[in-house]
Amino acid sequence: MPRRWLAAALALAAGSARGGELPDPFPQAGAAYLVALGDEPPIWGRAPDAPRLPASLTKLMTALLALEERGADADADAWETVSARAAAETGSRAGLRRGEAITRADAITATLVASANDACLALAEHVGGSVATFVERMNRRALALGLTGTHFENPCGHDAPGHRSTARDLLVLARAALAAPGFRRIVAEERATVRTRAGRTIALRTHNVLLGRLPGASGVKSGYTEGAGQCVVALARRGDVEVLVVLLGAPDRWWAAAALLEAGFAEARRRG
Amino acid sequence: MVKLLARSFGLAGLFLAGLGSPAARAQEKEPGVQWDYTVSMQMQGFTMPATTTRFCAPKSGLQSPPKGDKDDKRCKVTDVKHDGPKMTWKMECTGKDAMTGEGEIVQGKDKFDGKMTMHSKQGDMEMAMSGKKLGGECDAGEVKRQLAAMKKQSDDAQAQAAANQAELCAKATEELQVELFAGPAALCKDKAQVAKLCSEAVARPGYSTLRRRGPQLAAAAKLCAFDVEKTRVKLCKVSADEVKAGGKTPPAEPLQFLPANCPVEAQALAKQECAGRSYTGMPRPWRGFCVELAQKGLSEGGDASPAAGDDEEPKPKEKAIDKAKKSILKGLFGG
Repeated sequence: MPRRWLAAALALAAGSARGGELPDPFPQAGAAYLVALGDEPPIWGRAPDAPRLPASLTKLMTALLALEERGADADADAWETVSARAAAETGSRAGLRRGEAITRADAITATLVASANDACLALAEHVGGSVATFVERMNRRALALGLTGTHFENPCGHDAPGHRSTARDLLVLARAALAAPGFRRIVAEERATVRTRAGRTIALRTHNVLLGRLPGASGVKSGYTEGAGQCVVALARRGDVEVLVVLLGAPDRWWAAAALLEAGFAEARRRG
Repeated sequence: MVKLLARSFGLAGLFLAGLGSPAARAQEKEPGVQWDYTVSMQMQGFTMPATTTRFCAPKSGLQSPPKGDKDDKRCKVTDVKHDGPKMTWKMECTGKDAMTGEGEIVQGKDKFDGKMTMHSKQGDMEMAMSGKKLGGECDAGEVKRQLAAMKKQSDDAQAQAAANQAELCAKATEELQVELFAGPAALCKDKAQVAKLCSEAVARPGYSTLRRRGPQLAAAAKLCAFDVEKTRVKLCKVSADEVKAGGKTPPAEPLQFLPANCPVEAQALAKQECAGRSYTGMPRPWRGFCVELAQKGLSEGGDASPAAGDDEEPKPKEKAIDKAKKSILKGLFGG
């Protein structure tokens, strides 16, 4: 019984630490969303702590772990062979073939720019040693970041029972990833080319349609599954002002993300 | 009152200068002797405490009444009369602190006594003065030099203040800072600047800027005597006409003006140009316009329900999705 009281008290404390209800001026934006200026707490939101399927936003964690390990290991850009399982991944793909090898840097680029599930799984296999081990590391890192509403069942964002996150956790995760070396550069690329060890080049194009269209758009990551709906973490910077939007289960994420980013900049101007 | 007193004290200072020979120049040394000079003032029952100043008066004595500074063309001394040791004069100051007055002074060997009365709109001011010779050699030009230096400092400060104000008002005109032009205590009153501000307040960029600042639009309307609603309606019509005339590539400025200022015109254009279109399929000139309208759509009440999506990953139900999406976008843009 005392343990249950303790758990309840901790849950209450966590709730109050996260702050009260956020203003929700855009109830039609999506099932859940958050808008934050710079590194400040979010200014607007809807259902920020509701558990949601994160779809390919999961790859933010995959890329974060890969970049963090790469930063510590000078040999991490060695060739990585694509397994049969990775080559058979469905959904968004770079088109990697079984037995081909790409560098870890290219696997990260394909994972982030094109949301390539084949490159993502190859990355997880090589960084973690196995997919299961990598997923364990993802969950440990999530705990370390304080993502209490997040649990990963796979590294690339396929819908699965128990695979979940929240808008608030994804905001924290996105900020951690944006702080990782090289991450900002990669997610800002509209196009990229990766090359296999055999010399085959694969042209990739970002799924982030805001890049090159919305002034100041700087990336981050989109995602879609039937269960999650349309999701996006979108970043834009104008001058010294940076606006970060997390949008989950959106009827039309690009219109909504653009609108929320513009509203964020307007709010930043208003605040001076 | 305060200004008048300050000015009167200034005159008292000039009186000291007047003790010098008319031929003496500010920079020149002049043989002098030490005096104590005491002055007290009274105005409308308000008495300034008497102050005593030690100064060096020329040995030649008082040759002329305090006649003000050469550069101070606002005050002039007239009707100077000498009658033995007594000298009388009249004084008239014009301009902002206009006043008239008369004074007299009686000089003895080792002392002098005098008075001066000034009449202004604020009332009469009386100044009593007396001097006592102390003796001792000194430079009588020193007072003049000090006064000249003080005047220069004051003139420089005034010139700098005027320059600062001119700069401030020019900037306020450019930035449409109406509060500096409005009200009885307005800092900026230049008619040309007011006219420029007013012409910009009724043009699109200026109107938008002032509307974003809230009460400043009403303040500008009062200052410039225009009707806010009539101006808005006129600007909306012109903007909508310009956008329509632009066809596929409408001019950016009227297009930006419409969403925030002209809901009727903007909604009509949104139905035509935004509804049912994807973000990627939107021609560049229309994208910002439609995003702004989308913001308004997202703000409307009701629960958002996740739709079956499109794009990057498998597209098993593409046609149904497109249909759902168009329906949502029509809702978003009021189509």
